[in-house]
Amino acid sequence: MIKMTQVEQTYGEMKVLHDVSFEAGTGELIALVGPSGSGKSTLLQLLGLLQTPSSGMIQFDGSPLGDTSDEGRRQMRLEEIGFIFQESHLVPFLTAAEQLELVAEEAGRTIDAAAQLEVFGLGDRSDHLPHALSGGERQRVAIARALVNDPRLVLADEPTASLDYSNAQQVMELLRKQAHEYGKTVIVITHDERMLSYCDRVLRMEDGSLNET
Amino acid sequence: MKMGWRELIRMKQRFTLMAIVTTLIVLLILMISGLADGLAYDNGAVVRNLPVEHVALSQDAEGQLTRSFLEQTDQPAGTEALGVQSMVLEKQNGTKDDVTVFASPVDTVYGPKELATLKPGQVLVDTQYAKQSGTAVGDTITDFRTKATFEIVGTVSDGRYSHAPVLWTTLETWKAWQDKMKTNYVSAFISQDPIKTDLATYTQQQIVEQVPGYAAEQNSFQMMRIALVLIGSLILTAFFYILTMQKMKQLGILKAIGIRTRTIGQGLVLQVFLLTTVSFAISLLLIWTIGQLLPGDLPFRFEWTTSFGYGGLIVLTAMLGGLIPLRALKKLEPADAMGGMTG
Ligand SMILES: Nc1ncnc2c1ncn2[C@@H]1O[C@H](COP(=O)(O)OP(=O)(O)O)[C@@H](O)[C@H]1O
Ligand SMILES: [Mg+2]
Repeated sequence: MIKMTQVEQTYGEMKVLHDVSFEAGTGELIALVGPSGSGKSTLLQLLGLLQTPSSGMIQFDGSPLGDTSDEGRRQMRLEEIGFIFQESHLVPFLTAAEQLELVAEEAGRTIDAAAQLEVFGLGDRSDHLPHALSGGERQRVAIARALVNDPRLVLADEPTASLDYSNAQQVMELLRKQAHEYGKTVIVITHDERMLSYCDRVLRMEDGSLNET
Repeated sequence: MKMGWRELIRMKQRFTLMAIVTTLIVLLILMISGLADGLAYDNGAVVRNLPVEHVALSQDAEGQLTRSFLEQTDQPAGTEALGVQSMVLEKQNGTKDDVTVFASPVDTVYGPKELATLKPGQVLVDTQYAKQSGTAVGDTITDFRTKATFEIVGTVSDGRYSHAPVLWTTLETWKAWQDKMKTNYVSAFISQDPIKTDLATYTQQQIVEQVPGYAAEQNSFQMMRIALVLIGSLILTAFFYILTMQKMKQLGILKAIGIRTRTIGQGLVLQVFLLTTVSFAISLLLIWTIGQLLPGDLPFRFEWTTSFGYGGLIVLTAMLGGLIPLRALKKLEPADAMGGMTG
């Protein structure tokens, strides 16, 4: 589904990723672990087309992304990739339902936002602004938003880091369901060893090099 | 658009505050330029109000009515004689004022029609001047030099010359007054049509520009207007620039999840446009109200065309300020805009 071949990323003089290669298939829930500053977020941003690698190749369904235009990359981020961040990064002045509608409308689709939020246990929260939601609820809205356009790749950068254990479990459960029941490729960065039990594979990042454990 | 509108209605305090600041800046510009326009008009008001296009003066007058001395016998065909002379008048209570006397024939075509009803020795004064004590209708005033007395019997509007009040009278009264000074002249021959003569001829606008102090004043006013509009619109540009810059991180996240820069830009345009036009409309209403409430003797002129000119300029510059950062956003890698995914 997604494949990285000999990818390197340098910021000025600093080499953040060394010769990273890996492949992820459909329906896989993959954990990405490693010390802080080892390059995990950089790797995820490369997969998410938020930055371009200094060298190496990234393929999406077998087609290399090297020559894709900014507009093409934006469209892929909108329709093929779902992002979940540590902070939910919701738009502060939009209700839960409107967060989902914004993303759907941008892709030219109309949705029943309330019904989609219901799936994430937020049926009675669709008219709430982010500040009126709890941290766990906000993160679930963010997950619902990431999944609105039915992306095939879901990237989550420490989605449970600011949640308590039971909310964190809920989030991991949701992500596992997306991978195993809906066949999405899900990659999750986490620092919490307890979350690894949900995952099919664990990739370990150390000083910019990737090892599978 | 939808998103821009929702932000506008849900972030009310913030946008209200911005609307207030914008309104005040626009109000400042309209107010000061209204006062400048008022002063500029006031200076030559009596000349502007004469419905004539052409004026003949003596060759050495350099366009100034009070410096022109003509023989009435030289009057070209189709013109009307006009007398203009400054006077120091003494009121009954002993105080003095500088005024300018304007005189036209009793059956004048161009001067105030009320002259037809004047008896010898009677004069009309500027409406605002008539509100002051000692120069009201019914009062008698004295020319300080000749001790000639005049009775005020009525008023004329816009009777101002070089920022001083005007006294209108008939050429008959004018001549009697000139006799006391052992002179006998008129100042100008005026007409709606071009005048055939060897005298120096001017257009009405040229005469206004030669009113003492007018040109120098206009230069100052023009500098004032330019500085005001320039600084005002720069402040607004910076203001809306900062507004967008503050939202850069949020916009970066929207960009990261695939929202078009165009969608974001449309929302911003809507916001800046609504905010500035609403502020402009409120300022117009306020300035109009202020114009009505200001005391009549304060020179203030409100003109729709000038006001809309300034308004349009302000809406444009504000829009520019709000949209400049979008160029940066367009070029920005989403990851940088967000300051890292975990940011
Ligand atoms: N945009 C950037 N410019 C320069 N250095 C960066 C940038 N992003 C990340 N880095 C550096 O790259 C290294 C890896 O960062 P990151 O991928 O965020 O690590 P992790 O997510 O594993 O903590 C860090 O040393 C970080 O300071
Ligand atoms: Mg990180």
